[in-house]
Amino acid sequence: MISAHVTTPKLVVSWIALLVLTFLSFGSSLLGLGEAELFIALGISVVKTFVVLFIFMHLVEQRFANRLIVILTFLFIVLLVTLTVADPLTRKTFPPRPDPAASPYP
Amino acid sequence: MSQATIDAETRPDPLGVGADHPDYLRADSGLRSWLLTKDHKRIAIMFYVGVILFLGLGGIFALVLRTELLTPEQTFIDANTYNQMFTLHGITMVWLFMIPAIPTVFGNFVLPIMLGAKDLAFPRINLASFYVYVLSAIILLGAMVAGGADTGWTFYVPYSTTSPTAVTWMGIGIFVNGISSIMTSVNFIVTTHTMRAKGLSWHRMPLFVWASYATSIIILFATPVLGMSLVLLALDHAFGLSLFNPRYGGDPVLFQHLFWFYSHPAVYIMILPSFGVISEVVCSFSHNQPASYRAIAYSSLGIAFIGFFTWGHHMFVAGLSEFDAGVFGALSMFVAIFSAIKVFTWVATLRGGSISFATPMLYFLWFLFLFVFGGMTGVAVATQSLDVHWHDTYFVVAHFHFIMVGGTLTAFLAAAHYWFPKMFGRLYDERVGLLTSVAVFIGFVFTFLPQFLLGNGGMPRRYFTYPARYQWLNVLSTGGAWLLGAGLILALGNLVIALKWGKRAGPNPWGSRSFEWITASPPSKHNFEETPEIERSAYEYTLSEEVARERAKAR
Ligand code: HEM
Ligand SMILES: [Cu+2]
Repeated sequence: MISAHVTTPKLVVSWIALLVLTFLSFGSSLLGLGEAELFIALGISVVKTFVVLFIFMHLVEQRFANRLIVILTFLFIVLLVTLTVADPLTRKTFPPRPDPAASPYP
Repeated sequence: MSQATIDAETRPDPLGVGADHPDYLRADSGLRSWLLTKDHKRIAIMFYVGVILFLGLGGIFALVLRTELLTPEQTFIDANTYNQMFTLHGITMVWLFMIPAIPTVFGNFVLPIMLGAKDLAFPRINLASFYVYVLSAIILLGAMVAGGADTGWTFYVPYSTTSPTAVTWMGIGIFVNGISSIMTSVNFIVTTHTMRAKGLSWHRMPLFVWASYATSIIILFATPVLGMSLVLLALDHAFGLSLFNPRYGGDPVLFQHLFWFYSHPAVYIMILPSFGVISEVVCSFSHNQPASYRAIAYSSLGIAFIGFFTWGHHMFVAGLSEFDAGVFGALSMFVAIFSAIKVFTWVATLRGGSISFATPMLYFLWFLFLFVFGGMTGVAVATQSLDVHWHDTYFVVAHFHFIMVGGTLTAFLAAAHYWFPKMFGRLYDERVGLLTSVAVFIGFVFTFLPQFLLGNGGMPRRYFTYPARYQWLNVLSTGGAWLLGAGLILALGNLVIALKWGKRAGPNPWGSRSFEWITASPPSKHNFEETPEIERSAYEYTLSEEVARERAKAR
């Protein structure tokens, strides 16, 4: 089930796309967007990763099973990042524990 | 005398598939034919030598630790040496013994034969995996000589970034070691998919193959994360990258997230292969099909999957948010469900079987008891409210040694005895085997059971002195460690003696139905001349041995 072929024009187009994305992420860093900067940069690099994987590494030509592996790998990174980021984001959710040193046993 | 040996003496079956060809040990001779071999069986033997050497080295470190803890004050080494010893013990045992041990030795040897294949899918990568392992061992040994490490095997920041020891080189050595693991696991996955014999469908495969397959998947997904974390740490240690330093906006807890994202799955890398061994042993020695083949096979995959969702239970008191702690605590319980499914299925397999008591079977019983004990305490320490008290005490040390030594090392010994006739064509002395097995068990219990009491009583881990009230339990533990060491040396001696003086083994001394036993002992260089035709599962004990052989036709 070969659905697509990586041809030279496609390679050129994706190369240009990668360059444009690189400039985009560089440019966005000059806008001074603060917190959002990180997410924009990460988003752009995810897109670039997939371009490299599917075009330059010829994943579009592969069977679904092989593509599934890459998707699973990506989901694992998502898992790592989500549960890790959930930690600092939720650190102040509960009222702070009473400091035992402040009120020793009566 | 045990049933199995009687079987071996009376069954008139001197041949096996490939017996008319020279066996793999004699097919070629000379050092070159070993060092450049692409035969999975010879590579397995080379790995065998390697992991046994490192088991010995790690064991020496352990005996130094335990001997120091014989008395409450300093016994014979200083605090710094003690820190070095527990770090080197951990690193050696985890990466140079425990992780490679069962896959690269027994997996390499029996997995292709179980599948009816002549070799693994990529024999050259298999050999490369061995040399990469040797390279990592050389780097790690070099780092041990040039400064060692005193951070503990977990390399926690911030201390590890400023430790004056050879942390960077340790990181590099472990990184290289990971490459070797990945090479072997890719090989296993591809071999299982593409090299199965005619008629050998997934549900006819021996359960050891399922366990090796699940292990390989974890290795493939988790190991790169370890590599990445250690590179970051090495950059920090060598060049002051400060990624985990709050002063520059970093977070030291991030390192623990990254480390345990690998290392919790890594504990399943260490235990899953032994589940595979145990499944083979329990079926072969109770001459019975598994109570539920699918339960055992799929729970391996379940463990591989859920093992990725639980890493935070190592960080309950490291500053992890209460929310994350709750999520991780709850997810951790699922692992216990899958493990329990396995345990119950093994026990149920004994029912109605005709059990023969040989050394591997005895190791199975020890495994069952110790693994359940270790797993139950795992659930206990995964309960946040309890772990606040037990974290970083000897209770945790006891928990993981019950699983890693009581589980994996026991299964390694079971495998070493179970496949010994296949690997070397000889029978070891069964009486000595049983006796050493008992010594190992008693030594183990004396070493680690007191550590639960010590931890619960409040003795912290990683200190070289302790209050005098803990002494009697520590003395028991140290005495147990010496007995355990002696038991292991005797068990090894028994096998080494059998290499030369053991009675010749037929192709199938245990009366097993698994496919590796249809070949000659030891197998010929190519295992099979033609791909075998398989018309039964690996556990058809209702068939007589003749009929079973007929339904797994091979030349
Ligand atoms: C039933 C499944 C298991 C559960 C729920 C579990 C849970 C835990 C928890 C919560 C800890 C952290 C305790 C603490 O530091 O305070 C821990 C530590 C540990 N466990 Fe387990 N565990 C399980 C199975 C295993 C297995 C199968 C292995 C190894 C083969 C293992 C090896 C370890 C190791 C090495 C540590 C200590 C790491 C360190 O801090 O040096 N565990 N376990
Ligand atoms: Cu864990």
